[in-house]
Amino acid sequence: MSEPDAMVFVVDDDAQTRDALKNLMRSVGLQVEVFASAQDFLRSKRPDVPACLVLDVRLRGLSGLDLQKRMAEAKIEVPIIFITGYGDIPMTVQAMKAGAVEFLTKPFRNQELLDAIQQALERDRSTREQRAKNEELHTRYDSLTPREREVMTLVVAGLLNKQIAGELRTSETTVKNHRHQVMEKMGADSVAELVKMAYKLGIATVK
Amino acid sequence: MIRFFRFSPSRLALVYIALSVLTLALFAIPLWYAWRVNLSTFREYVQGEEMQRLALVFDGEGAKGLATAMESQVRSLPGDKIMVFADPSKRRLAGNLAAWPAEVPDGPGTYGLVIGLGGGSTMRVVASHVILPGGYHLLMGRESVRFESLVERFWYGITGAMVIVVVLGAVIGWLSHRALLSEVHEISRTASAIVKGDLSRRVVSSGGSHELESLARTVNGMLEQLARQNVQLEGEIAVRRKAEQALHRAHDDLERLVAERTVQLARANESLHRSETYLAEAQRLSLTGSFGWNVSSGEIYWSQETFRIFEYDPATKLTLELVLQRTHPEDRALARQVIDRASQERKELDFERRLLMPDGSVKYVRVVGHPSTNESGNVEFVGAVTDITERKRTEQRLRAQYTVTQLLAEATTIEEVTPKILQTVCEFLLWDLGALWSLDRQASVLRCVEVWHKESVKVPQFEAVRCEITFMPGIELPGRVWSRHEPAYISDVVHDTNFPHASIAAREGLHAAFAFPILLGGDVLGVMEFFSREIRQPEQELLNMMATLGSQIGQFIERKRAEDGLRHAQMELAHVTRVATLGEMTASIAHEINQPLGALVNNLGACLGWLSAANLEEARNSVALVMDDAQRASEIITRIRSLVKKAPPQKDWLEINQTIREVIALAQSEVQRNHIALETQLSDDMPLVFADRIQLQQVMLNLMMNAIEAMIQVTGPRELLISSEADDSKGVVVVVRDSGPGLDSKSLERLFEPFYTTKPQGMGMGLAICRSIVQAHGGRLWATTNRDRGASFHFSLPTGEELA
Repeated sequence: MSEPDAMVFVVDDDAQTRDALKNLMRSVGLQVEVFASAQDFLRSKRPDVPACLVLDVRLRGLSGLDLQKRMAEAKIEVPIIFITGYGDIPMTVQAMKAGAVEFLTKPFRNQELLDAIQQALERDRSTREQRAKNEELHTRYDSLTPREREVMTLVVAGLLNKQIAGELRTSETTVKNHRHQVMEKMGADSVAELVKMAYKLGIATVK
Repeated sequence: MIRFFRFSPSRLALVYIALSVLTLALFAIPLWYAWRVNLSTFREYVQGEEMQRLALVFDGEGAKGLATAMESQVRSLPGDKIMVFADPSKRRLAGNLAAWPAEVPDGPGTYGLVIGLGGGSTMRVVASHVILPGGYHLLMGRESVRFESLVERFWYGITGAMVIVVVLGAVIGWLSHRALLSEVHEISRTASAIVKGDLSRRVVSSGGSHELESLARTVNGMLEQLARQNVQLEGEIAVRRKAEQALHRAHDDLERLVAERTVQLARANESLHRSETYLAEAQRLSLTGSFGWNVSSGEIYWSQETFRIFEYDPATKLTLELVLQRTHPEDRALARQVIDRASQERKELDFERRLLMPDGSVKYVRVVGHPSTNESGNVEFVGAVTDITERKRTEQRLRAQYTVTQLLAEATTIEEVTPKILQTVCEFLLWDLGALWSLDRQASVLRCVEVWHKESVKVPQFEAVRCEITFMPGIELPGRVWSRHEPAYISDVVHDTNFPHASIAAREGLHAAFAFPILLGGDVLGVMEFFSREIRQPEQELLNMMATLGSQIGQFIERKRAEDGLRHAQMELAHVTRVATLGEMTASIAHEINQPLGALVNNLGACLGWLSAANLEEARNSVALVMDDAQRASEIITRIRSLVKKAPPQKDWLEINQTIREVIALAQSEVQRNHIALETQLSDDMPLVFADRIQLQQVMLNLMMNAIEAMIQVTGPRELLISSEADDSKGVVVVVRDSGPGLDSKSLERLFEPFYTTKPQGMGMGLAICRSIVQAHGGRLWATTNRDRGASFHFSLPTGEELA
C-alpha cells in the first residue's frame, strides 16, 4: 500500500463515537486510524506523513491531557484536536497552552471538526517542510571544513575578504577560494542568503 | 494322715523301718562327711607350706639355738597355737610342754594327742611328729578343739538318731494299735445300729486287715438283705396309707365345691343384674349401643341405646331395610355394600356413616361388629354402634378453623383468600353454598362479591338473585347480621319470615343457613353466609367459632390495608429519592445522552458526504450507524425513565452483574467528570437473584453516588471499586468501595437511620431506603470502614437456591 499523503488519528474510548468519527472522516476522503486508548496510540507504528490527532479528553486509563504530555516528552509532534463532552475552562486552557490546535465541546458541528483537522494537517505539513529544510541546511554546513566554517562565520559577520585574510593571517586569494567553496557547498546564491542560513543555523553573530 | 495309719499295721511297720533308716542316714552322712573333710583338711595343713618353711631353719648342730628360734618364731605366728618341742637327748622338752607325750610313737606321723602343759592343764592337739636330721624329734601341734568336738558330735548325733528311732517306734506302735481297734469299733457300732433298727448303716472298712475286712463285708451283706426286705414291707404300708388319704381329700373337696357353687350362683345372679344396669348406663353415657344380627334369619337385636341413637321406638320390629332407611341417602349405597360384603365374607365390620333423622338432622355413627358362628352354624354379628356426631363436628370445626388460619397467614390479598375460606368452611363443615357480602360504604348496602358452591350443588336461580341484590341493615340474613354485629342461624330459610328468597330456596332445596359478620373494632366490613340443603338445628359452638373467624378475617383485612399503605408510602419515598438522585446527576445524564447524539450527528454528516460522493454503500452503512446511535440514546432515556417511573415492585429472576453494569453506564459520566478511577471486579459465576430490577438499580446508584460524593471531598487518589461475588452462606454479595474520607463510628451507627445525613443537600433517606429495599429482598445492607482509607458498602441478596 502506498504511503497516504495525510493521516488522522482518533483516540476515544467510546466505540460508537470512534466509529462515527472514522466514518465522517472517511466520507471526506481522509485517511483515518482509530484507537480505544492512549496506550494503544503510543504503541502504534505511525506512517511518516503529515498527521493530526483527534483526542478525547476523558479517557479511561491515561487521559487525553496525559497523552499530550507524554507525546511532548517523546517528541511526537502531531498536532492535537481535543474533543470533550464537558469541557471546563481550566482544562481548555491547559490543553491550548500545551499546543492543542483546537478544543471542541460535544456536540460540535461536523464542519467545525473537519476544519480543525484541515488546519492541523496544514500546520503539520508546514512544520514538516520546515523541519526538512533545516535538516538539509545542517547537512550542508556539516560538509564544510573547519577553515571554511571560520570563513563563513566571518563572511556572514560582514567582513571583507581582505579583513578576513588579516583575521586568519592568510592571503586574500586563499580566502577567496574558501569563500567560493562555502557558497558552493551551502548552495547560497548570495551573501544575503548565506546570512539567512547562518541565522537558521544559529551561528550568526552580530558585530 | 490318721486314715493312712489306720489303714494297715503291717504297712505302718514298713514305714517305721523306712523312717529309722532315713533318720540314721540323715545324721550319719553329714557326720561322716564332716569327719572326712576335717581329716583331709588336717593333712593338708600338716603337709602345708608353713611346716616346710619351719623345717628349713633347722640344723642338727645348733639344736638349742634352733629350739629358741623356733619358739619365738612359733609364738609370733598368728592363728591357732602351734607348739614346738625338742628333746636334747633327741627328746628334749621345749616350750610349755610338761612332758613328752607318751603316746607319740617313735616314727614320724600325724596324731591326735592330749598333751600336758605346765600347771597341769592339758590341750587337745593334732600334732605332726617329724624326725629331723641330727636325731631331733620335732612335734608340731595344733589345737584341735574343732576336730575333737567333731568326733564328739558324731557320737551325740548317733545317740540322738537312736532316740528318735525309738520314739518313732513307740508312736507308730500306738497308731497301729488304734487302727486295729477302730475297725473293731466300727463293726460293733454297726451291730448296735442294727439292734436299734437302723438298717441303712454300713460298716466302713479302712482295710486294716483282711480278716476284719471280710468280717465287715459279711456284716454289710447281711444288712443289705435285711434292708431289701424292709423296703418291700414299707412300700405296701405306704400304698395303703395313700389310698386312705385320697379318700379323705375327695370327700373334703366335694363338700367345699358344693359350698362354693352355692355362693357363686348367688353372686353371679347379683353381678349379672348389676352388669346389665351398668351396661345400659355405660351405653347411654358413651352413646354406644350394641346390636346382634343373625345373618341367615335376618333377626336383629338392639340395645336400648341403639334404639335411642336410631330414634326408633324400642317396640319396633327391626329389619335391615329399616336400618338402611335411617342411613343418610348419600351413604346408603356404601352402607349396603359394606354390610353385604361383611355378611358374605364373615369379616369384621368397622365403618362410619351418617344417619338422617326424621327432623332432617344428621348424625354420625361408627359401627363395629364381629362375626361368629352359633351352634346351628348360622353367622351372627355382634357389635356396637357409637354416636360420634359431636366428636366429628368438633374435629371438623377445628380442622376448618386451622385451615382458615393457615390460609389467612399465607394469603397476600383478601380477594385471593375469600373463595378459599368459603370453600374450606363448606367442605369441612358440610355446607353447600357460601357467599361473601362486602359493605359498600358509599351506598351503605351489603353487596355480594363472592359465591362458592360444590359443582354438584345446582342452585342457578338462587345464586343469580343473590349476586344482583343488595341488602340494607336488618334485611334478610346478611342484613340481620350487619345490624346485630353477631352471627345468626336459621334452621330452615324456607319458613323464615325475613327471607325474601325463601321461595327460590325452597325450589332449589336450600334450608339451613347461618351468617357471621367480618368485624374490625366494632365495624362490620362484610358478612359471610352459608347454606345447607338440610334442615339443621342451631349449633352454638359453630356460631362461636364463626364469630372468631369473622374477627380473624377482619384483622387480616386491616393488616393488609396497613401493609398496603406502608408499601405504597415506601414506594413513594423510594421514587422521590430516585428522582432526587437523578436530579443530582443531570449534568452527567446530559453528557451520557450527548455521547450517542454526537456520534449520530457525525454519522449523519458522514452520510451526507458519502451521498454527495455517490457512495451509496457507505451512505447505507452510515445510516445503520445512525440507527445504532439513536437506539443507544433511546436506551439511556428508557433507563432513566424506568428509574423515574413510579411503578409497583415487580420481582423477577435477574443477573445482578447486568444490573450493576446498567447503573455503572448511567453513572459513568459522573465518575469521569469527577476524575474517579472506576474498577469493577464482577465474578463470572453468579447465581440469579429474584429481585426488582429498578429497586436494585436504585440501591446501586445510591451507593455509587454516595461514594462519588464522598471522594470529591478528598485530594488523594479517587478510586471506586465495585465487586460482586457469590457467597455460600450469604448468597450474592455486592461491595461498593470508595477511597473517600471514610466513616466515623457515630456515622457507622446512624448511617441507615432515616433523615440522617452528612450532606448539606441530602434528604437523609437514601441509605434508609436502600436498606429497606435490600431487606425486602431478604438481604442485608451494611457499611464498613476500609483499612487504608474510605468506606465500603456491602449488600447481600439470597440466591435462587436459598429461596427454593
